[in-house]
Amino acid sequence: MIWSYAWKGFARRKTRAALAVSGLAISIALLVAVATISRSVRGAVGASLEAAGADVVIQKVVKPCPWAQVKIARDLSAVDGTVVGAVRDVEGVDNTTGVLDLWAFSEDKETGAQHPTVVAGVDPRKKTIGPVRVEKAEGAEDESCCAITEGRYLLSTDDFHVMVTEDYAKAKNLKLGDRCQLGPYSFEIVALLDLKAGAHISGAEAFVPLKTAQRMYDGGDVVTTIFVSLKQGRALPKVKEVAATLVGPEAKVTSEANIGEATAALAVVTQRTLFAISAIVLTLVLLLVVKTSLASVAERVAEIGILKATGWRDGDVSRLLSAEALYAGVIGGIVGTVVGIGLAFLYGTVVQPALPRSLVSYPECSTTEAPAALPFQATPSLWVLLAAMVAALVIGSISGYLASRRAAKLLPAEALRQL
Amino acid sequence: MPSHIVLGGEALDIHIEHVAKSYRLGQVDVIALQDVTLQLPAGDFVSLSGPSGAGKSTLLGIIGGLERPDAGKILAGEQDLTALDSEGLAMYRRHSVGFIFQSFRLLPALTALENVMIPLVPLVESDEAKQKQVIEALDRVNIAHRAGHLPGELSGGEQQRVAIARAIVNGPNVILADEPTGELDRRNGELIMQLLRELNQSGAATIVVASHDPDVVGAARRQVKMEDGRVVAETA
Repeated sequence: MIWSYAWKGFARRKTRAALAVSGLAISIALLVAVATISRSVRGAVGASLEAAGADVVIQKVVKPCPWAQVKIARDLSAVDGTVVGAVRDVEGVDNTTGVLDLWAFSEDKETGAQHPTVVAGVDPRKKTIGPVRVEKAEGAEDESCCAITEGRYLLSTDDFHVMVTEDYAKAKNLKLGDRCQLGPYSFEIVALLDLKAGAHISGAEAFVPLKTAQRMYDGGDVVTTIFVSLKQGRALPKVKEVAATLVGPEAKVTSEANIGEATAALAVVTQRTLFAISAIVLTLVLLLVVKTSLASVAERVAEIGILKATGWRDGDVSRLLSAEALYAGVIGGIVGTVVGIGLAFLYGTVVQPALPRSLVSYPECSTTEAPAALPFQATPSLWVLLAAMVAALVIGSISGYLASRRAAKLLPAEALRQL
Repeated sequence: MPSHIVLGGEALDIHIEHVAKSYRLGQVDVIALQDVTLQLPAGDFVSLSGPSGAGKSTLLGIIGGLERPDAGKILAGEQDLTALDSEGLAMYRRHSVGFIFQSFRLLPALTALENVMIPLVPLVESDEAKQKQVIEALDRVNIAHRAGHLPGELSGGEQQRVAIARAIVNGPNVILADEPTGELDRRNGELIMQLLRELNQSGAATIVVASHDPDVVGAARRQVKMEDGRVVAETA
């Protein structure tokens, strides 16, 4: 019966109850939202690496090079092709492939302006890793990222042969077997590709054999992006070390662990930052709720005096106040969790997180849309929800405990005298 | 808890022996009671009279286990109240004492029924049994028809009836009333005293009323006069 009496007491002190519940709910909502968004963005970022069948991407980032009819994409720089083999030789590395990201400018027949096509030179032998991963690696569970809807994959013997995305073919009114102009070179279209939705590192509009791309760039055996899949995660530090040694100080090694840091908005919230924010917010809310509970005791001296005069033991009064604080904790926790998940969903629809620009080869004026949108899906972690509820209950319990201790110290005669 | 309310079900004689009590108000010690000795046999109806500051309310608080004396002994039956801890005193108040206050001290957000229920809330009996007992207490003071009303919707006399129902709902042995008619008009004051007399006559409960109203004092079977924390006269 103390629970129902406590509920009445909680419900009838609407302002105090609303203050305690809303303080808890706002903080829990904030924590759930930030943790869910951060987790979901990390998941989305992981999906972009997964799509390429890689765990790590190595690039060399410098200043954009001057205009040329065929130039390296964005601010990437050429890395010697031997680095691909050197990284593959690192213990714990499963597979590697090098990609040459280019922009090939061709004259627009209507306007006469030079218009870029995003070209990726890929190794035709590597179908299980890289930007056009049409096959799963042995033992891998994830689905392939891309599909050939018409035609065939590139062959080692191919030269001026190209696979274009369906979007690009549609935009340029091209079909299988047509000729396609990439810079000063003419290519035969051997495949139409469906890159599927989501972000693609080193995604391109046209994929040509790596050797051909190197000839187009005329820089020798070079690549701009190296995809690395690991057998063991602990190989990562060694890969970074090798990349720094062979590529130089401009080497940029991107893995799931740090890719989020460069991704837009809330993805910058790393696990450590999240814990720090959580600790600060929860401490502030704890102080607020404790203050509210203690103020509630001060306001209720009269009631507590009457309860004690009519035979309530200190323990009964403590249970009453603890029950009221727990109600605040449970309601604040549930409301906060629901609102937090709602905010995370809202974030996914309003703010579309995208891959860091350095991982997207497309120029602003590309013919087709850059495959940079991360497949964000707000998926709250069961642990986060559990932790949020536990935090709300712990805060409720602590404030209830402190309030009940203060109430227990009130002598009934003194409480009644204060009336 | 009895199945129906029996006031003073177990005869409880109260012996107050050489009780003293003082308070500290700022830097000053105020003597509230000094060397008070008083016998309250079970079923007695006693009034405590005297001017403000005579120690009437303090004595009621000590008899009711709300506070402890600095010196002396209070025996309720065989039980020495001065030897009880706060839990023991709470149990004594729960089972043996009913308080009636001058300003009713009903909780304004609770209905009359809920106010009378307060002493029963921590008990383990079923809600149904408690409800039955509350209705019986309200009925006993002729206010059951107002059970669903908030204190603000009741007259002063009605509120004091609810407060009396709260005091008797546990079937106490001792009912302690501190200026029970202090905030009532004459007619309602008389009705409340009539009610207390009836309660006293209907069982073996001891009633102690503190008041400086001569009519209230005169309504008791025995009068105890206090001054400066001492018992200065006793008349039967």
